[in-house]
Amino acid sequence: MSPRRIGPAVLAGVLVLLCGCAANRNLVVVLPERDGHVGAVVVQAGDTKALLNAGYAAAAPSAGAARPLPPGSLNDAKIKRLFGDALAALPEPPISQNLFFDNDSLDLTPESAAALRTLLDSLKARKAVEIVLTGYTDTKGTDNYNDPLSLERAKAVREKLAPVLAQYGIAADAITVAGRGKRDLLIETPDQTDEPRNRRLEITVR
Amino acid sequence: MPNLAQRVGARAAGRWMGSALFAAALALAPLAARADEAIGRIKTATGAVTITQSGKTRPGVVGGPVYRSDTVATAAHSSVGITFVDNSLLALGPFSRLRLDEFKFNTTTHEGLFDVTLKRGTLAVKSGQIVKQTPEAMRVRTPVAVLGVRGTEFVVRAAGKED
Repeated sequence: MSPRRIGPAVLAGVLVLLCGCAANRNLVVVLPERDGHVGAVVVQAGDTKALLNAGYAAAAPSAGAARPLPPGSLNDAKIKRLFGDALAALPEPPISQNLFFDNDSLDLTPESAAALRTLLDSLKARKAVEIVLTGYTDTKGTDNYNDPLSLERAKAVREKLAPVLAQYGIAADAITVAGRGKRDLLIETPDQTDEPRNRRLEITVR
Repeated sequence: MPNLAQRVGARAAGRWMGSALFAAALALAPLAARADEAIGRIKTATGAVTITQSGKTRPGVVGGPVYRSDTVATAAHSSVGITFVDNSLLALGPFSRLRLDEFKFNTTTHEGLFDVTLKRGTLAVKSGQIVKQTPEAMRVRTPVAVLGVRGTEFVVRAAGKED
């Protein structure tokens, strides 16, 4: 075959690669995270699996094959071109603040009251704001005791804070409550330990 | 029940550590999400966004709820971002279609299950408390693959045609 006859075939092949590959291929990419921590995604297609556990690790699965891609196949520019619209549409990450109370009352400590105001003042740009109030206990008592106790604590704080949140345009039905009992301790302690700092209330804005 | 809860809550207000009797009464409080409860809320929307459930379609607007079994779809030059009740963040680029197959979340233990299907288009994800508690309890299906999510940020594109 002469080069003149191969030319169009090669050109057509390049076009297929550009269109078929770039525009329509299935793709999964794990992204590097701001704190340097990288998560992982397991891609399964048919009987094959690929573990993607590095920043920009990618796979182009097809029916029956997970098809991991070689390192360096994707970079920021390619990801922005392919996924820029979806990434730009991601909501603001939720933010949380621990609140503490004077002597287990419903009165915030002065520091917590100030922290709450700072948090609420920072919300003006956030759309469709929701609030979650999560109660935590120290390690005294059982889960069966502490779980409902922490939930009731969150409900009581909701009653108390609802008028404050209303001033910031947050309606009562946008405030939900949860109780985590003695999970996720702020201060690690042995079981059955009195620790006032673990009897906290976490406010999450999302 | 609300009256009882409120009364007990008021009693609890002044005393962080209440009686065992009151704790036992409150153990009945429901923790699991009901089928008709919103599992997430739309936080960003541009262009044309629709949500379909059982053949009925509603517009996807900022502040609007999403429910289990909803299918969220975007048209050309459109996108949508949703925050779920476990703090998962999901967003779709243009020409995309995502079904929210299953969502269970226990706000006390953070145990749960989150299954979605990306039928076509582009999806960006930051996983939330369900995955933090139980790696791979979130799954993203595409027409050719199933993704088990261990966390946290990733993107997916599905070349699938309509449905």
